[in-house]
Amino acid sequence: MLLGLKGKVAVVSGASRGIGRAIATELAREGANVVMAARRPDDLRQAAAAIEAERPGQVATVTADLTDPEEVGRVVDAAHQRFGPVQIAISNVIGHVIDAGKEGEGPGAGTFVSMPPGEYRNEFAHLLVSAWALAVRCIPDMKAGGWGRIMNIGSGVAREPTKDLPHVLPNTVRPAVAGLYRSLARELAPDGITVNNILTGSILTERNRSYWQWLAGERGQSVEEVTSGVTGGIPARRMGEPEEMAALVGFLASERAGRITGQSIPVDGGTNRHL
Amino acid sequence: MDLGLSGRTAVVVCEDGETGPACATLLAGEGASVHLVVGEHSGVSDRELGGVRVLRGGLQAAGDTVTEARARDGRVDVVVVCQPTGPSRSVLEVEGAAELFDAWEVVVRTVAAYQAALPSMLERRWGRLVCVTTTDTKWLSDRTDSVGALVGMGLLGMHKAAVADVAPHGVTANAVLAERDGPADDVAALVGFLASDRAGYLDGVAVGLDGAISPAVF
Repeated sequence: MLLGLKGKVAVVSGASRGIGRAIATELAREGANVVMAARRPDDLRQAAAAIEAERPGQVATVTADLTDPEEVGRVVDAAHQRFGPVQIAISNVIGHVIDAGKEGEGPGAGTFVSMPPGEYRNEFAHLLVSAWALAVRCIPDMKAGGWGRIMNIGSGVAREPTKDLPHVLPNTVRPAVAGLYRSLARELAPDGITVNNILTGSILTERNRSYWQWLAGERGQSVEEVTSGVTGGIPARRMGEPEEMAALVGFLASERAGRITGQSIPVDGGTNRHL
Repeated sequence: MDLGLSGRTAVVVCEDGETGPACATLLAGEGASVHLVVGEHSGVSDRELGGVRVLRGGLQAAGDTVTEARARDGRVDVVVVCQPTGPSRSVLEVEGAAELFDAWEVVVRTVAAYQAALPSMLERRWGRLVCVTTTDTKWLSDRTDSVGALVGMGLLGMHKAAVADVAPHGVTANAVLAERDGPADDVAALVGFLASDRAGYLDGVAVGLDGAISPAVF
């Protein structure tokens, strides 16, 4: 199926690893010019080099903190200078960090009773302000071109808060992102811009592996026991691959998906329970 | 994007309209062997439609057509059922329960078609069950179509229930919620993606295709 992405300009945040890297790879393979943004320059360079080897001249990188609207502006400006107006904007910023010891920041998990109020602001900055900032910087060019694709890599907890863990921060902020995107979708539909939210399930990424390791420690279990429990609760009986997330993003970014907008679409092997 | 459908067999069922033929044409273009069964009064002619085998009988013949396709091709990998888009009807207007049962046959016949395909899908540990219904199912428009809405929700509920049984075997069950008079080619593209090898981790999903007309967040 021809997706019509050749020559389109895309910005992908969180692109150095996992889902973000898979998305950048998918879009480049479909012919898009991709600006990969992330916080860690070494990981970012490595990821970009792999894609560049396959698709020379289609990749650029910007090291930036995408929770900072000023930095987001710098990324979008760099994309404009390198390839032209941004037409595809993928927001993929992680929220609070579960394995605080490994990642070096964040409050970890917490309950409603225990989580300090200030951490709600931090999570808001990570998950919502980052998505808002990328959209608001890209929209003028998208409107001028009469075409755009905005997506957020969210989580299934936006719709079905996880009951197994004290996960109060993403359980609170993820639905807000869904509400923001739904509103944006209605506002921007006349301009040929679609806005969609992907609800991620259990995907095999480095970050999730770190998360399961933390969980194993918390529960006094082995990692295998934790992951076995996770897959046992997934109807597909397996974790998803980052490439499976990227495939949906590629399709939604395409010319063929112009009337799919305002959607929150789970990629979770059937885990979602809502109709 | 390579959808990985070359060599697979698809059965597309529709009573009327452009969506079924559009889906069939797209799937055939991606290399699948496609059997399209349309209603007796469908405007699609009785001939090969761009590599698609066209049969008559509509939803009533869905289960039998899948069985026959399995016998003919040795397999069925994809089943697409398009809910008929008849006139809007309120439950307050129906003339007795018989009319409700008639409407509910869409669900019964869709189940029959899916079940006819499952042995092949379970054997290969790969299958795609896709239903096309309307956005009115979940986001009620000004049009009063409570009969259509209850049938559509029944289809969604059936898909959700099916996931628990079929997902462990590599089979997905998903729905497309399309505008009644929306572009058939857009529906076909989404159906093609959901039927593809790339969409194996989307299961029990209902994707709206309506340009954000519907008001709900979810």
